[in-house]
Amino acid sequence: MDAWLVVFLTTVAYLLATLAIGLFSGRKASNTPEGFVAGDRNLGFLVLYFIMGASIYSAFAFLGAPGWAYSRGAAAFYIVSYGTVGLLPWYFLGPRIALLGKRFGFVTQAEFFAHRFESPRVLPGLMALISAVALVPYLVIQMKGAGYVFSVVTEGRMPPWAGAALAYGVVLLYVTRSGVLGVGWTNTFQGILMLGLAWGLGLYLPWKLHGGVGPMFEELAATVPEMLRAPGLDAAGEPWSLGAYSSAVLVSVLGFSVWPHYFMKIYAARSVRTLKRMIVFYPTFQIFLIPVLFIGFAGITAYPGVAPADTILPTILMDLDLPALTVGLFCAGALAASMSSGDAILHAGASVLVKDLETPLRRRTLPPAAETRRIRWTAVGMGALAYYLAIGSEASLVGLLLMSYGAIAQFFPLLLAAMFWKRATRAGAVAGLAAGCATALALNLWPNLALFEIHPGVYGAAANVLVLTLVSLTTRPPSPDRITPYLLRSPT
Amino acid sequence: MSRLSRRPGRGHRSAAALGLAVLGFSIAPLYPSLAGIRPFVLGMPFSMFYLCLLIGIVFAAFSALFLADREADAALDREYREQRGPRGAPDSSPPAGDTSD
Repeated sequence: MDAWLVVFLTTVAYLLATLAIGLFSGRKASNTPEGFVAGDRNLGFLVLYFIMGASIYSAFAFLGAPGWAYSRGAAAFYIVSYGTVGLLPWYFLGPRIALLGKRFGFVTQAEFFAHRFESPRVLPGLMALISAVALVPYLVIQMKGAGYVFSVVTEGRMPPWAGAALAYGVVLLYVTRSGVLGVGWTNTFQGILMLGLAWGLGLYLPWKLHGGVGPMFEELAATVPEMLRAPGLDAAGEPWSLGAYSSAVLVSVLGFSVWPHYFMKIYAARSVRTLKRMIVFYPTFQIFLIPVLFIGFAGITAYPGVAPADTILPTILMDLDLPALTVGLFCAGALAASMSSGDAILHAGASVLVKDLETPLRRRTLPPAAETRRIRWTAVGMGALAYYLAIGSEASLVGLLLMSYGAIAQFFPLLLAAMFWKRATRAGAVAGLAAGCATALALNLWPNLALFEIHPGVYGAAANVLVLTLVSLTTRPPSPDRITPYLLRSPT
Repeated sequence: MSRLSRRPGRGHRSAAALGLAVLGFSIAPLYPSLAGIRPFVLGMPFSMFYLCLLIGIVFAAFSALFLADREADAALDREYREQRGPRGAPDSSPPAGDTSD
C-alpha cells in the first residue's frame, strides 16, 4: 500500500473515532439551551480541563507555533507567557460568575453583562457582533490548518478545500448533535492525542536532526543567536520591538479569560471546586507548548527556506521518511488541534448569535427546544461562512489571531467594571466597548498610528477604560439591588 | 450570596499580586533583561527555561491557595447547589424584568 494512503487512512480512522465519541457523548444532555450550551452545568474536572486546554491549543499551536519558532525564534515565547497567567482572573471571578449563571440561567457571556448593566438588547447585541467578528477568523484559522494537513500528507492529492470540508463536516455533525458534551469529550480524546504527539515529536525531531535538544540549541546559539534572544524577530526578520512583544503578551492576557467560548465554560462546571481545580491545573497545559516550539527550532538550520513557515512541521515529517503510521498519527494530532478549537468556537459562536443577538431582538422567548434547534442551524451557517473564507483567504494564521484578540480584549475592562465598580453604568459599558473596539480597529487599519509598535488592542483597552469611566460618572447610577450580587466587594 | 460577598482574604490578594508580578516578569523591561540565552538549563536557553520556571511558580502558588481554600469552597459549593435557576428549575431563558434599552 502506498505510504500516503496509510497516512490518509490513519487520519480517517481518527476522524471516525472522534465522530463516534462526539455523537455518543451527547445522549444525556437535556434538549434545552442549558443542556446544549452549558452541559446542564455538570462537567467534571477532566472534561473541563481538556475542553479548556484543547480549545486553546489549536491549529495555531500545532502549526502556527512551530512556524513562529522556525521563522521568528524567541518571538514564539509570547505564546507560553500569556497562557501562564491568562486564566488566573477566573480563580477570583469565576465562582461568582458560575453562581450567578446558575441563579439567573445564564449560558453565554453577554447574558451576564446584559443583566449586570441592565441592558437586555444593546450590550449583548454589540458583544455578539464583536464575538462573531472575532470568532469567525479564529474558526477560519482552524479550517485552514485542517486543509494544510490534508494537502501536505496526501502529497497534494487532496486539495486544502477538500481536507477542510472533511474535517469540519465531522465537527458539524457532533457539535450539532451533542452540543458542549460532544465538544468536551472529543476535546478530551483530542487533548490526550495532542499531548502524546507533541512530546513525542518535540523530543524526537531535535534528536533526529541535531542529536538532542541541548545540542540543537547550542548550534542555534552559535549560528543564529538572535533567534534565541528575547523578544526574537518580527515578520520581516528584523529584531522584534520590546513594545510589540510585550503588548502582544498583554493583549493576549486581557483577551484570554473573556473569549466567549472559554468564558461560557464557567457555567458548565459541576461545582465551584471543580472550576477552581481546572484553573489551578491549567498552566500545566502550557508545558505542552514547549516541545511544540522545539519542533520549529529543529527546522531552522536543517530546513532553511520553508514557506509558508506554518508548514515546517509537516514538511519535516514528510522529508524524514518516517513510518507511514507515525506520519498518520501526526496528521491526526494536527487535525485534533484544529478541530478541538474549531468545535468549541462553532458551538459558542452559534450560541452567542442566537442567545445574545437573535433572541433579544425578537423580544419573545422561544420554547427551549426551538431555541436549541436555532442554535444548531446557526452553527451550520457559521461553519459554511468560515469555510468560504478559509478557502479564499491568504492571511497568516497568527496575524489573524492577534487581530481577533484586539477586539475580544475589550470585554475585559467591562468584566472588571461589572464586578468591582458599583458606579459602572449601562451607557458607560456600551460607550467604552464601542470606543475600545473602534480604536483597536482603526489602529489595525492604520498601524503607523500605533506608537512604539504597541498592539492596537492595548490602545483600545485604554480608550475603553477612559470612556467607560467618564460616561459612567456622568450617567445615572445603576440600581443597588441589581448590582449588589455582582460586586466582589460589598458596596460601601 | 453571603459567602460570596465576603472580602477576599490575604491569600487571595497575595495570589493576585503574584499573578500580576508574573505578568510583569514576562514582558519588557524585566523579561529581556533577566532572560538571556545562557546559561542553558535542561538543554534550553535561559530565555525559554525562564518561562517554564514562571509556569512552575504559578502552579505551585495557586495549588497552595486551592488547598487553603478547601473549607471556604465547600461553603460556596453548598450555595452553588442550592441555586435553582430563575424559575425554580434549570432554565436558560433570559432573566425577567429587563425592559430597558
